[in-house]
Amino acid sequence: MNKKLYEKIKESLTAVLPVTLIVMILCISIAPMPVETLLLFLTGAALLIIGMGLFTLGTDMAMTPIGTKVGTQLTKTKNLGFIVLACFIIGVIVTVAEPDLQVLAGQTPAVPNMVLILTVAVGVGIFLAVAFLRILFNWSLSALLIAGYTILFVIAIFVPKEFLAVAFDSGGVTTGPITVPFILALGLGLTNMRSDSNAEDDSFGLVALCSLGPILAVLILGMIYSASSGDYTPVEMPVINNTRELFLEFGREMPHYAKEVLLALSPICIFFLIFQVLFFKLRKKQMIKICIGLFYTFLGLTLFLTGVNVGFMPAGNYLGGQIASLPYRWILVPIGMLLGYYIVKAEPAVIVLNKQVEEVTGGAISQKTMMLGLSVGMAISVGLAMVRVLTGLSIFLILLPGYAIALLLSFFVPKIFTAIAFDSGGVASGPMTATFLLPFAMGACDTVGGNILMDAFGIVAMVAMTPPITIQILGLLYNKKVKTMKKYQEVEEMEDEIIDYGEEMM
Amino acid sequence: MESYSAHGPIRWLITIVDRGKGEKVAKIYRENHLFIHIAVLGIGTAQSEIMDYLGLDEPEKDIVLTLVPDIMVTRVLQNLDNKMQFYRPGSGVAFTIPLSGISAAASRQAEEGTIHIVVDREVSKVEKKQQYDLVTAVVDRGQIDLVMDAAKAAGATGGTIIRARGIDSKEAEKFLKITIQPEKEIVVIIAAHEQKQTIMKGICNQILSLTGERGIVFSIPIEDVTGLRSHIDN
Repeated sequence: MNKKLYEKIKESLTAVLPVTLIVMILCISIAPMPVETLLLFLTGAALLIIGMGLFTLGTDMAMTPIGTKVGTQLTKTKNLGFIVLACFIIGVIVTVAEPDLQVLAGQTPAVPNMVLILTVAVGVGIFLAVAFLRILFNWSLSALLIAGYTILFVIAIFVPKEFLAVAFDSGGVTTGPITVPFILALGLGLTNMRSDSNAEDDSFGLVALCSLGPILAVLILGMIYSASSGDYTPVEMPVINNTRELFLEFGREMPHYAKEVLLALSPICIFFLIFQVLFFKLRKKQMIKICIGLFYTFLGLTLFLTGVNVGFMPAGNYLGGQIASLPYRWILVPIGMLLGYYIVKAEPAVIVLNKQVEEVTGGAISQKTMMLGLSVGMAISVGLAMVRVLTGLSIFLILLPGYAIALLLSFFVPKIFTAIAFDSGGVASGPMTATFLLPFAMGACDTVGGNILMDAFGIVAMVAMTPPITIQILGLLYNKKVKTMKKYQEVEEMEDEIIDYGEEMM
Repeated sequence: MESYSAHGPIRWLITIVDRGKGEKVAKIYRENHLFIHIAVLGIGTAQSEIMDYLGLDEPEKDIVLTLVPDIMVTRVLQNLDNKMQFYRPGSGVAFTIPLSGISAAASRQAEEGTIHIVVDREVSKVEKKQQYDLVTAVVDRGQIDLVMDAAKAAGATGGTIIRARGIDSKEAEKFLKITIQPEKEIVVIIAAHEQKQTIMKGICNQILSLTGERGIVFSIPIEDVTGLRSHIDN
């Protein structure tokens, strides 16, 4: 069999199967589920496997090369004004096209949709430009992050607390599966041609800063419009009587997601075409490959989103409600952690990030290491989210110390780990969190009788907060290991004589 | 000094396998008491045009660089051949380059294994007759597929690409706080001795027609080639 195809199939299976198995085990043991919900879930899982494979293949072939080339080209122009303007426009347009932003707009009824979308987009645009400037002027990432998060938390004091969860969720939500690979690749493009010592570290950190934009924008809007509450659409349980209806359920939703993905992809295509005409002038062969790659991305993401929205959302919601109704409802916490640990593997942007980390560090930080860090982070965050669902603990009490720890850690770990860590926060909170974990929390919250807007929402924010901590802890361990290795070498007495083979060989 | 030369010189063993299998290779080498490994990431070149368009070609590679005493080469490579199924086409290649000098510390570490085993290098000398060269070309980023087309037309079966950037201080440009360098790619192709000339000429001609510049192409003598398709067919 074709090696690459085999690799891709293996990759998607290892991403989706663990979660599927856990749900299967749950629904034959403590959380019995209607057969139709299970069938929807399993069909969804099948779509996810195909979609995931196509998506990552498409990213390799199209999104990454486009982003990398745009990043390289921007720097090559050496025109500061042009770079800032281009970054701002890229940030704005890519964000406006992000389908999740429409969902966010629906959750904040107090703010007019158009105002919200534009403000968030401008937020991302400004922060993308700042992120690029940071690299060019060699500003410290952790200093910028500390400043950014301090401002966030100060503003958050003045925002009604019913609105906080939605606001902090927005950061993770807007950095979706199309934006993330593109922004990651922009950073890579900038790094590829640099020879200074900071090059590797600077490859990351763009997503980290971009996630700040939406939170800031939504918080400011919340303050201005004194939004007292958010809004959400409860998960609908589709009624399915036979196999044909099951098929039709997916068929009916598919065009909707196809349109969303197309909309999200189009600005990137347009950018690519403009750059192609102005600068790249790629050969026909390279163009064909990129076009096929874009098609894969489109097809893959459409299948993926249809799968999670139609198949996973009802199952997540039902499971949450069912488990929370058990007499021993504390079990939500360990089950949430288990789900979190494995679900991050099925997040499409995570695979892209891990691969890029391995590539940039020359294998020093492997995909496996990254996945471990993310899984542990995700387990902790979902666990915390479940504690909140059960106790109604304020999100502020978790986010504030969480980010304080993450920012504090940035002083002790190698720079590259801080950049990767804060990037992974935005990366880990993707469609899987939004369509499975959030409904899971909502279902549980509903049963427990908590306030869905205050207690269930915020799970995305939590998911964005913990990876910066765990990945940096990995960095700490890595640093320690390097130091002990160096020590060992110092102890050994080194001879510096050189053996010359030259004479014998000739 | 004498104790080192008694074991014969050290060689540089280069192993190219699919991404992710580098660890396994290193493990096999460690079992053979070889401890100095460095890994580099590479990319395989496309084998078929249709598969390339579909994105199913160009598998990523791990390149493992190891120091190995001359007398252990045959044994280590046979071990690798068995465990990694190198006899199956496309599962990887390995070859060695003789060193002309080495620091004593590295030599001592590399030779640790020779204490544990009895080896007979003489047997392998016969196989060595089959001569190969490692044709190496430095190409501007983005031109690799055209260069490979030319190399294939001249008889090459495939190659491995290593991403790189120039570090020429003249070509480097300062822009604010960062230093910008031209992006390059290095491609290495294992070529039989008699094909070497044509492949190198083919690459040079292609680079000339693409950029109007003379290409940077050179070849390195390599030995103990294991796992090459044409080698297996013979």
